[in-house]
Amino acid sequence: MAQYDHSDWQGSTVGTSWMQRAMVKLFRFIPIPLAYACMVPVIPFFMLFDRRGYLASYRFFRKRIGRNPLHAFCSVYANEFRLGQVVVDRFAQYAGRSFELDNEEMPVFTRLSEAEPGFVQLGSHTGNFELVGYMLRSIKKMGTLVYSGETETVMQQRAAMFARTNVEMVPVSDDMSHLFRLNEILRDGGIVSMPGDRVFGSQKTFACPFFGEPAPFPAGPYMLAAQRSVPIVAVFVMKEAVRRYRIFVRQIGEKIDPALPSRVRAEAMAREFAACLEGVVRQYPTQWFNFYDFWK
Amino acid sequence: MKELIEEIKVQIINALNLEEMTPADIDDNAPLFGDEGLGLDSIDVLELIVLMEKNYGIKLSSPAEGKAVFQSVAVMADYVSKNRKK
Repeated sequence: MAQYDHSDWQGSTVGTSWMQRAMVKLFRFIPIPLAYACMVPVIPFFMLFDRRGYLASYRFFRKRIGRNPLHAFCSVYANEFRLGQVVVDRFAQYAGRSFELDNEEMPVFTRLSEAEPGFVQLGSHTGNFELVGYMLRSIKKMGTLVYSGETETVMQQRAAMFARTNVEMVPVSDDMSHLFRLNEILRDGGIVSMPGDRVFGSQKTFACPFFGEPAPFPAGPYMLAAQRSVPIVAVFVMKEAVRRYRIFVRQIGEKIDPALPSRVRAEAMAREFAACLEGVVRQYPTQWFNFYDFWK
Repeated sequence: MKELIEEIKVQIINALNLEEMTPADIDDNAPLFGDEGLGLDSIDVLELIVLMEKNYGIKLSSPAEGKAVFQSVAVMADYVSKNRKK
């Protein structure tokens, strides 16, 4: 396993705590399309002043998706706009707005959530993974790993949303208490939900083929599933229209020999997840929200 | 106790896939984490938690407990001998 560090990429929600509180209040009254329209003139400033994000996105569309320079430039705008829409939707959700979810792939999730053993649910920084926690219902306890660097407002809003569900937020902590809690939830037959594409905490990674070149995927989520011999479910929630998302659910590791050592199984699952992620990102390239050199 | 220490070393080598190491390479009292000793990290903590549970029926549920138990192989062996359920 290689060691990588993406810790300089925070990936937290933009804005200060009071700005975010104001957004939640605002979205109780204003139509969502109006909020989208307000972003149209703002996006160029993000493109201009967030050079690192702009370059990462531009190179992604040029090198990985294979678009010409003009098309790649326009795609960066679309990419930033999509991210803005997803953030708006998240705050609109906090404000009590609801979204339609095309969920024809739900039987996979339902079957696993009704079975006895727990499973690891992996998301990614594409689409709007957070929405899944508020909209999917399971009889199992779900522990969802959350980045502790978010503002108080975001954490409070998430807690309020999750209070209506059987989801427990498990913040990443320096004393590794999150590992003990996640392990406990899995041991008791629950679901553990975390991103499968972001390296944090342990810097151990698996180099997985991704858009034609090896990219570092975090070893942790896959090791957790392999050690406890539980399935992995990849979930992608992609925006399709103003009020509609589509959910993709894929079981990972079904064909991997359970007799193999846990590290071998974990790496095989990481590769399978990377392949699934690539398929979804190819379908929705402007919903790829890792604004840094993912392959470095 | 000596046998248990050797047994735990073999289990750690297998669980963490430390193919290049033998039990003799692991000092009984060397710290398992940090720059000295084995230099394990949080992913390895998970391995050790599951190892303790599957092999000895010991369920560790807090970081404080883990920190105390995973100091060294000798400390692990002492804890296992006093708390094992299988």
